[in-house]
Amino acid sequence: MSEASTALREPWPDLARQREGVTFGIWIFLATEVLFFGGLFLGYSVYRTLYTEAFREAAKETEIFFGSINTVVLLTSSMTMTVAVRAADHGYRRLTLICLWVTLLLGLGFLTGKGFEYNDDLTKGLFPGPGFPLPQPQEQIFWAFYWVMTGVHAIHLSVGIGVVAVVAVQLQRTVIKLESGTLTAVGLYWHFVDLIWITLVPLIYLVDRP
Amino acid sequence: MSEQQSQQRPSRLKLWRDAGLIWFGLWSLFAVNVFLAYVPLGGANVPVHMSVAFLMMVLLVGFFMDFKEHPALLRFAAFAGVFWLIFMFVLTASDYFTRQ
Repeated sequence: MSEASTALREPWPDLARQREGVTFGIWIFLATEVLFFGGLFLGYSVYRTLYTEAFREAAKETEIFFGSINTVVLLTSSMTMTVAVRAADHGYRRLTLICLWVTLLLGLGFLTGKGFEYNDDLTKGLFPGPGFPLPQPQEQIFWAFYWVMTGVHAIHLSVGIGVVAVVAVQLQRTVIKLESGTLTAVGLYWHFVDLIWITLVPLIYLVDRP
Repeated sequence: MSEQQSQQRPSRLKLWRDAGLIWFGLWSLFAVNVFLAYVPLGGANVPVHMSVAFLMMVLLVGFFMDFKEHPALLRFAAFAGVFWLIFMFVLTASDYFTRQ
């Protein structure tokens, strides 16, 4: 039995339909994720409009160094994920696996950077609540959005890392076949997490820097 | 994989080169965005930064997520999220941003 035929699962009549079904499913899921993060971005926009000056002052306390390094790391992970997906499409098994593991390591690198950044923020006491160091009360709202949005993003990335690890191991053991479409779905999720970060970075680190 | 398929498939180098070009574009746009963070743009600050971020999203969705290769049904599913997102923003903005 060929690898292509064993990649086919119930109830799909052929591999092309199966891959389309998988991609359709993940796009529907991502559409719900767009609305989930959209609510957070909308809340941020409303409060930023109401308390522009407080948000401007609060944003100056964010660490652009960590934000920039993490962005480059995440963009690079998207590149390696793209190569993994395309290598799988063209049957390059070894390259697929190497790129998946590199993507996973870059994801862990991002979380490590985020950990250092969080530690820095907490050392400065930048967590909303009693004893918050910044003078205007509305600056706490900015930092509340900072913790929730970057935290939820980090959770999504952690889930992505877990999924990439499982898929890489199953590909290695040939439980999952290269042609099955699984990797396409994983890749789309990974890129979506990157997409959210691309939107977050200007709002948190860049717009109020001058 | 048949011999004919092996001959048709792109080389590993091409896979890296294609993805690397887009990565370079994304990285360059991000560098522009960081540079602009230190330029006083006044009221144009948010629109300029979000425009550069939007260009990065176009590159990512168009090339890394292979959106342009998707059949119409998949594009429709993806646009559904964006459509309702716009709806949510417009309805909220019509309240908050028109208060006297």
